[in-house]
Amino acid sequence: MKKAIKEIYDAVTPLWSDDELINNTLRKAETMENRTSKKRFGKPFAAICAAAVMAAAGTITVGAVYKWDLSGFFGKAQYKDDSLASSDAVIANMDKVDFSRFGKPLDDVIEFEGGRVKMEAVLFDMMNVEFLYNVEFDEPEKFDGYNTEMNVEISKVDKESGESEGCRFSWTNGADIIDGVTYEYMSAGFPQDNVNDHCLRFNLKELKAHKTYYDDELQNFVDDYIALPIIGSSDILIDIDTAYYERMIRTAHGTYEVTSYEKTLVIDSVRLSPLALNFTTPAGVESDTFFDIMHEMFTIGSPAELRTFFKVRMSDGTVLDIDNGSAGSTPRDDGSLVYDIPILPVDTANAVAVIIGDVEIPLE
Amino acid sequence: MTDEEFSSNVRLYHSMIFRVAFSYVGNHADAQDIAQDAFLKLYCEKKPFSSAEHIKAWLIRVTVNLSKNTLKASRYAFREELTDNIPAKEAEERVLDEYLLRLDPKQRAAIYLHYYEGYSVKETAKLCGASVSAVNMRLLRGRKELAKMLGKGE
Repeated sequence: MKKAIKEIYDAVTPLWSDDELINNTLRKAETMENRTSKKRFGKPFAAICAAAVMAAAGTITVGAVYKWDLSGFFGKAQYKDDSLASSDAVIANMDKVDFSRFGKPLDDVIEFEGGRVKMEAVLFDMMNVEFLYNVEFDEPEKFDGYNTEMNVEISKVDKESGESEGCRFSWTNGADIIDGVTYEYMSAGFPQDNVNDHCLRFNLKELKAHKTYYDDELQNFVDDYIALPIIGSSDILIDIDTAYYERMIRTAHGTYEVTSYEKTLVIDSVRLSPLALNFTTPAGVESDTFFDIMHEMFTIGSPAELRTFFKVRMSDGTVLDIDNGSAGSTPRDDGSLVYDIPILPVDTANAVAVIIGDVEIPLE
Repeated sequence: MTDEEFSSNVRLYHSMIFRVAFSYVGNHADAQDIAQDAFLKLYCEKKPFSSAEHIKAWLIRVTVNLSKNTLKASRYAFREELTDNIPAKEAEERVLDEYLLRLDPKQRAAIYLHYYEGYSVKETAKLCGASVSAVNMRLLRGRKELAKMLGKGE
């Protein structure tokens, strides 16, 4: 059988000679104006799905933070992949949003051996709460080429009793350590309405540095982890102050069928807030349809396709890629399902439509 | 990477990369485009490679990803082989191609990397972005299909 396979594959020969390929490729390289654009970090879809499943209604995203210059830090956060041509438009759009209306700076620190996690800010709207923080290393050279992975539990805590009233678990991964710091943000998956008059507890349970590298001896890629034990308290209690709260929700109603990878997702309502997109599927719709589509996109498509499945059209015609690639669903009593997707911050006041797959849904 | 280094890598790996791409997409034109894109990425890659094996594995991974993207893009379109544009293909070779085309793309890639390139099942799994058990299954099914076509026992 091996011999037969060899014969079969020997017969598969390139259309071009080696010289043709060399010349054509060098010519193409020469004409490329911007060939150095690189992906800042990649997040395996399996990890995103695992996080989404673990978090149930909660979701998790990782990105970069730059103090209160939100477009600056989300600018660092975004995938610098060629395939996401509109990411610059997303960042530019952030300059139009006044985040101080629904966020506040934080100044808390969790120490670990060799560095610290510094909370920078919390953003919250009626559908989502997001923590912005960075991970700083004392000896960055030790972590060259690594990224951070953390296991976090976020709990909703009663202000008076201090009792936890439910929590979300999440593993993050993917933020590169750049000049000794990773810039990240994390979606808690709590709607702001749900945490009124409560605190949120950010509990860092575990932190690791991780890199994948090629091992010459094994002649294969291997994963290397460095545990970063937490020193002292791993808890941060954050008071959600509703004074910052402002409604900026846009909605759409009607029945829309989004067909992708031979599967049809029926959607009967959409809500867009500055930090989240959610949509509902009517009772009777297979709960796995959405995740099946996501899975197909990753296995047959690409992570970039996954991240561009949800878009927003702005009043000036710009189309923004808003999705961070993760989602969770919550069943309602009537059998319908609500899907929550944390998004890159959007100026909802100037949004005119949400685009899901190839279906454009006008906002009311 | 200098032009000389690049040329030498093309001479070493062009056929292999073309076959990996062909395994996925099943047609020569797309496979050639993918091979060019993979080598273009190699030419533009700034990170140093530690060995020839590293370059080879890196190229395969890039090619697998590019091939999957192409499959996605052509999912709803029938990609017909433009046989008129492939004058060098002998009738016998085309029969052999046909054997491959009757296999699932993932089976073709696993069979090529494991049996032809000599990667272990674990390595094949890493290169294809699949689990070891999935690759074992692809190899088993692919082998059975080929045996049936070739009229041979496994």
